[in-house]
Amino acid sequence: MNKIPTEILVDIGSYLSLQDYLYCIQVSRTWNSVFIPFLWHTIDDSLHAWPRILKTLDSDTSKASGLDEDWLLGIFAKYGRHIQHLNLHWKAIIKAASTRHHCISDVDKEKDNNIGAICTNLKSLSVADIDQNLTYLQEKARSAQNKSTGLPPSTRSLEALTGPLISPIFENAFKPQLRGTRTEDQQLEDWRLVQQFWLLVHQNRLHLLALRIDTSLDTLVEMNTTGFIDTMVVQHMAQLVDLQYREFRYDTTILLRQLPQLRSLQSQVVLTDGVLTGSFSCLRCLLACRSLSLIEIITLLQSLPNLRELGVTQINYTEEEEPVIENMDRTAPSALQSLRIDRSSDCDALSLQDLSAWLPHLTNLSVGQMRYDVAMILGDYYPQLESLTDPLETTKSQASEISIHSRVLAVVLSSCASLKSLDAQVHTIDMSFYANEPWKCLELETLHCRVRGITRLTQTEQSIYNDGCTNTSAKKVMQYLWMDGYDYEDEEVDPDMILAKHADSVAQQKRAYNRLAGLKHLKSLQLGPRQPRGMDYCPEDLRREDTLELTLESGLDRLSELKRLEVFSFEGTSHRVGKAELEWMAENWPRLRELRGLNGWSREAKELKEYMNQLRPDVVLSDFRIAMD
Amino acid sequence: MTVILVSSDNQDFKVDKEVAERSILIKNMLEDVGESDSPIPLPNVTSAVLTKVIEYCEHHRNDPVQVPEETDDPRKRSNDIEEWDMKFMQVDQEMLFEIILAANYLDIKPLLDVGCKTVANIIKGKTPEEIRKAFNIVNDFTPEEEAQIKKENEWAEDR
Repeated sequence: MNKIPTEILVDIGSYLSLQDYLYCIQVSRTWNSVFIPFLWHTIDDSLHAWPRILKTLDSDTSKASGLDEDWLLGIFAKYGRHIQHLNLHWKAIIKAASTRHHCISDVDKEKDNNIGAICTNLKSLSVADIDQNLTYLQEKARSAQNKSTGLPPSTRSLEALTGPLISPIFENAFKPQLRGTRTEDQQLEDWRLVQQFWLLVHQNRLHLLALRIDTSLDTLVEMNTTGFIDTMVVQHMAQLVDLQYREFRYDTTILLRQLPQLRSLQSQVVLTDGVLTGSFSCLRCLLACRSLSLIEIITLLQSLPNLRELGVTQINYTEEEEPVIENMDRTAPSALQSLRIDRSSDCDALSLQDLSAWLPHLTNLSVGQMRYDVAMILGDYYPQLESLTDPLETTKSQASEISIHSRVLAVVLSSCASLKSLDAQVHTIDMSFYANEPWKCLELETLHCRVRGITRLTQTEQSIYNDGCTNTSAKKVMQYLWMDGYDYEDEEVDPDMILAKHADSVAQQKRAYNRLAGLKHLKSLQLGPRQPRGMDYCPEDLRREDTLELTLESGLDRLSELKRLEVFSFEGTSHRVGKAELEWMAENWPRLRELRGLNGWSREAKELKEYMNQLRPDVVLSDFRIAMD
Repeated sequence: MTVILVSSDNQDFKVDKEVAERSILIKNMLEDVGESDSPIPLPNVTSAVLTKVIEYCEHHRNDPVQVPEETDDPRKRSNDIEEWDMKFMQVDQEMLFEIILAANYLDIKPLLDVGCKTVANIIKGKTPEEIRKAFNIVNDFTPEEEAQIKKENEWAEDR
């Protein structure tokens, strides 16, 4: 091994993983010097042990384990130059990445401009969610502040509030504001932190290829974007390939001229006189971060011949535009493949009809809260569509506000023949109405939506049915419920009615399964809501009683042709999956690798999970609930 | 057309030109010399190693020229090895490293890659001590240094 030159060891390194690097650096001095750059190549402080370490930073336990602020500053001072990709989510890391260790508490040296970035070889730099991730000290300060409400807001002058500049480049860069929600000390800290971040950008401005800034940085200190960012980014970062900065408003024509290498841009589009002057063939992805008129969109497409992906907040459309659009050049269709509209509007159907002449290659469409009239035109105007997404998520606060037309998916399923993915978890297919309409999209590989509208027996009815559905059994169950203190007075129990209702329910479900059984290419079938972001459980109000039972009795076995199925989820539905159903799934879906919906702490749920684990140890049983730390 | 390669221990190997040209070094030499049947000396490669290398080049004589992977992240390369190559690389460690060095010297990129992947697969999942044992490496850290390296990189632990 000693004969192997280090350059070959470097070659070997490219086939290893982070865990391997961690071990390799401990082997010997030579190996350490070879593998440290691999280990530190990409730092994302939301991964690995970072969150655990950063959370406890400066707590009593961190002192004992030696993982404190000094440790953090020390390792960045030592290894920071190896970092090429840095994804920041923690204030402490911004501080460590941009501050020279020995200058930390030395105010005099700071004045000598002796302070500087220590990560000087960055190719990409991202910052996101920094106000969400708090270290021990910050959390303590925050809760202390919450207790001492009623303090008068700071009376110091704005100048005093900003503290000393850590570099002259920040002259006039920020608009310091008094924020009643934050104490003076916190605002000083915010001010300093934002400077440190931009100093990091400044130190890497000649070779940085990607710069991604989310809104959390701007909530700390308001920036004077036109002046400062202009000199900082637009004038000096001509090599930039990816710029994401939602809050940044800048004339897009000038921006693209100054940054000719840009392939991906996410910032507020500003079109002087409503147009982009010139042609920019490098740009592949543009997220406009605001609403655009239909005319603006078409002119953008004409100036960006290689644009593949476009995102807008909303499409504005007025009837006055109609004659202008009529006369626009249709001879040069756009290469656009993917269009994202965050929020739908009344006129989307009209806009999308008009746009279709320019978008012959559009295969992916995403519309937030998609409307019925949009669904109606898709099959005719975008027959090539392969993926349709409604990004809207169900969260508890939203649930009541969302109004979704119940026919949207029925129309899509019966008109878009080339669709491969339909991901619209807030939408519903009401099987009581649409189970008989023919479905055209038989190529579907992904179907995420709710299947509802099934007549189902109530729990009481079900137990009477299970008991043989005789008058005696009905009485028995009622007695039992009576003893349980259950108020059954209003519930009319007629065994014949239950039998009829049950037959109706099974017939309905079989029709629904027949429809699903036609989708032989399905790889992922999710019949319930996804876990809402920021929530760690399935809200009970999402659990509906009119979903498919998913029992063999009701016709689940009709799905035996879905041989390609890999993911099956029935989370948030009121299914009645039992051991027999699990056996059937284990047997009939050979490629299944993820099953979601066997939730809960009940003995029964645990037993089912264990049973499935025995049947198919290769299938992951994901829980709705995330593991609590 | 054939060419004659001479190993460091003076053995002649007669191989098809097409096979020899899997080595970019030899290919360039042949282009420089032009039409000539004088033997090519390879003073850095023993006959045992050259036999193996020729075996590899014979098997891969018709492979298309490899296009170098353009990735920004040097760490995400695939570890897959073809079945024939896997068997071919089942040699003792000394030979494995000799082949890698020869592939590097002769500039046979695909063979170098397979060699490196094979070594990477040996390293994978091993603790530092196991790696040292596997490759007969002396631990030249003091216990204090070792502890410090561990602490400085604790963030990379999974938990």
